[in-house]
Amino acid sequence: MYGWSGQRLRVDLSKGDIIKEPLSYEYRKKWIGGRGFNSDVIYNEVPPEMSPFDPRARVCFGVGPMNGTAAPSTGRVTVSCKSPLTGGFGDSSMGGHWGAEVRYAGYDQIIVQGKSKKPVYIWMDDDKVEIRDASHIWGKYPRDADTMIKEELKDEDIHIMLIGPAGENLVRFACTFNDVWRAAGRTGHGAVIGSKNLKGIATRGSGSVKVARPKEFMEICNKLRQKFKNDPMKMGLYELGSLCLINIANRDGWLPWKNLQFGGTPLANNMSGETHSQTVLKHREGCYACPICCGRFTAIKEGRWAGEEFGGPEYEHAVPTGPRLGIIEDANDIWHNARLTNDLGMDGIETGGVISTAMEWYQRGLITTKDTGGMELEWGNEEVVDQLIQDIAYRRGFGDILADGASRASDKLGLGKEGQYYTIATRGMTLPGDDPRGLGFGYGLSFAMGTRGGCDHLRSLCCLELSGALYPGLNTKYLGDERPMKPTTTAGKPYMVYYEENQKAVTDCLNVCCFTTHWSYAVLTQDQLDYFNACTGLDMTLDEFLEVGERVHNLERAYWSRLMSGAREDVVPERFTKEPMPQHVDYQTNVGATLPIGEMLPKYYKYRDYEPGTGFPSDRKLKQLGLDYVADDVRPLRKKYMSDSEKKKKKYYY
Amino acid sequence: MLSRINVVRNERFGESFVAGCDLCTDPPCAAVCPTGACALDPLTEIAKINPDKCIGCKECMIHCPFGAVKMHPITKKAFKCDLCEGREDGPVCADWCPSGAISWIKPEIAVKAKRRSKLQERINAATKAKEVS
Repeated sequence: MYGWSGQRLRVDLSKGDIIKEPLSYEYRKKWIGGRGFNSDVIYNEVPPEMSPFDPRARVCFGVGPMNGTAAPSTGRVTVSCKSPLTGGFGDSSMGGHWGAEVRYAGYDQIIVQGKSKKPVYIWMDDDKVEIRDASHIWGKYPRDADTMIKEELKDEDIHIMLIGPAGENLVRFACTFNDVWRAAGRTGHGAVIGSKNLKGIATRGSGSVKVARPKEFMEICNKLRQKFKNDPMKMGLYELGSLCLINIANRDGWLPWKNLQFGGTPLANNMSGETHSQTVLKHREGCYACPICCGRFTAIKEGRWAGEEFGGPEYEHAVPTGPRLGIIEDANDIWHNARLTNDLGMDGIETGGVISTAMEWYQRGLITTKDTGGMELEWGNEEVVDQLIQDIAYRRGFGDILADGASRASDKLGLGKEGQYYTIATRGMTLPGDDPRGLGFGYGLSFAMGTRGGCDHLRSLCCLELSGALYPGLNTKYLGDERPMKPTTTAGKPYMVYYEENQKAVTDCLNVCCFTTHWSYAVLTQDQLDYFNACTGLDMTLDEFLEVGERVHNLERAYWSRLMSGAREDVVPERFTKEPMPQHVDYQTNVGATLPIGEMLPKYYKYRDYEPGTGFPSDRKLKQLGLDYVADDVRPLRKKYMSDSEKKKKKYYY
Repeated sequence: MLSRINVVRNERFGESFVAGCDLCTDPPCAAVCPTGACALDPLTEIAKINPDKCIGCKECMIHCPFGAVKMHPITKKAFKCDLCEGREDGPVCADWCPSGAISWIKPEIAVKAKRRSKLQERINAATKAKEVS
């Protein structure tokens, strides 16, 4: 067997069972790996009505067939579960070196189920897998726990997946880390892992990945690495990290300022990649086999947070913990907030999202200091933010309410429809630091349609809008049209989102970093197919390859359908459709823009073959993708979804 | 194919560096080799291991101060960097390093450049002083 290891590891923490299950040729070809394997397991083994914290719920860690080879940026891991934040399908992906190590240990996927009586961690040493006591590391920050496990196992070179204190305290947006700082942030699987009393998985692998056609494979990899050397996006990402976007975002009006009320701030340069690399950057880091190296390591030198060090931040982490909360004057405050969310093991995007939502409730008078326990939630109040982040992680006072996510907190506080208006969330998850009124209407559409809880900058990642201009002719090559390159147009956007969603799903199945295939377009879809075929020895065609992506996407969509989430829930926050973008920076380019989501949705439905009324995947499409059993599941639900009682329900989360 | 260089990392403190052969001209690994498998290569002027003569005694592994020698898990023989067998353009790792952490430069040239840079520093300082005055 080439490419894959051919087996998955299943650990049942209730019984202490360790089971190795073979993966058949048909199964591997159908789902490829990573997100594909995970989605299939979640769909089949976690029924929609089950609570995410149920001991029977699964959490899956999937790696791709090429993790651990020389192909560029193939160190990623996809973590999937039923999300405690949205209540629907949830997955997230992280970089680092753990993914490759899991492949060297000889597995394509790890499934954890059951619930341990006391805190434990899993130690995988190639074939030997054991469950070890973790009482002494419970409650520790990931960086301390990492060091302690390495000392205990007497090996500094192992790679460890860990959760932080927030996961242990069941904060609904807790995340997981590997290599201390590489986080799989969104959808809150850290809390699911915490609910199983699992602290982490330490891995040592001494095996290798077999490649079917090594010579051809190396030739392709060398060709791609050569392309990276002159790639315009790679240069920016290496020099400045993803913070290189700050100044661009500010100019184009999609840098969220005060919970997306504005699209920029005159002081944005305080936290730009340029400033960061001149002031606090200590070290540039790369994940496994990565020619881009967008990772940062920050050391704060001045001010009250002097001496703090951490891995990060990146754009999507720094923006919600900074400008979205109105913090910009002292960038060290932003780096400190990012460090804090990392250490406590929380998703920076959601943490910033809930706090900024609470700040806007406070601004509009929906809540007062009586609700917040005396905290004055003024924009830019760093003392309160610092305190609140810790309160959320340890579920204290007002933080306990926010720890359930913005949409749930709104209901808990009884703020009604007005409260939900300011959450800037779809399907219970707050949006990342991108305002689609400026970033592009394609992003807006994918926020409405994403299959991991609506909000998503990584489901379609239509960077043909963002960096497409740097690659002349690429839009025509992929989409047959140059017009979609302009962000604020609806022309060609539905097809762009459809195509990119399928492409991104395949990329996640291979567990290749999307910065190689979407941000930077050095690796095109055809290149991906070529190295995949050379590695695994298959002879897939381009259509078959993209069909895998479409299959994964439709399976996830069907999971939402089973939760009674369909066309009525395919919406974006009303702020984007009702409030024209105000001017906040005099050189802003998108003043007055709103998101015309209604124009794009019907066309997108047609490409996807979703039914216009319900928004469920059609029978025809599911059967064409070889998902007959899914079609059987979804068919009886259509009538229920269209019934009057369902129509009356307003669902913000599940 | 196994890598002959290693990246050693400490994630917690954000430190990492490349550990590999330091290209000694009087190599301890060659001095301790009992069979002469590890010997100075006249072409590259560094130690090179001949797998046919190697008996896998691990002496070179222990004596290398940089941890550059490794054992092949399948053949059970020692192996280390051989500067890509004296490739004319220098070792391949320097070609592919994305961040410029590894570069290939002859010591004689490097040392000359270093001396020059000292002189340049003086010139810069003098020019600056003139501008100020």
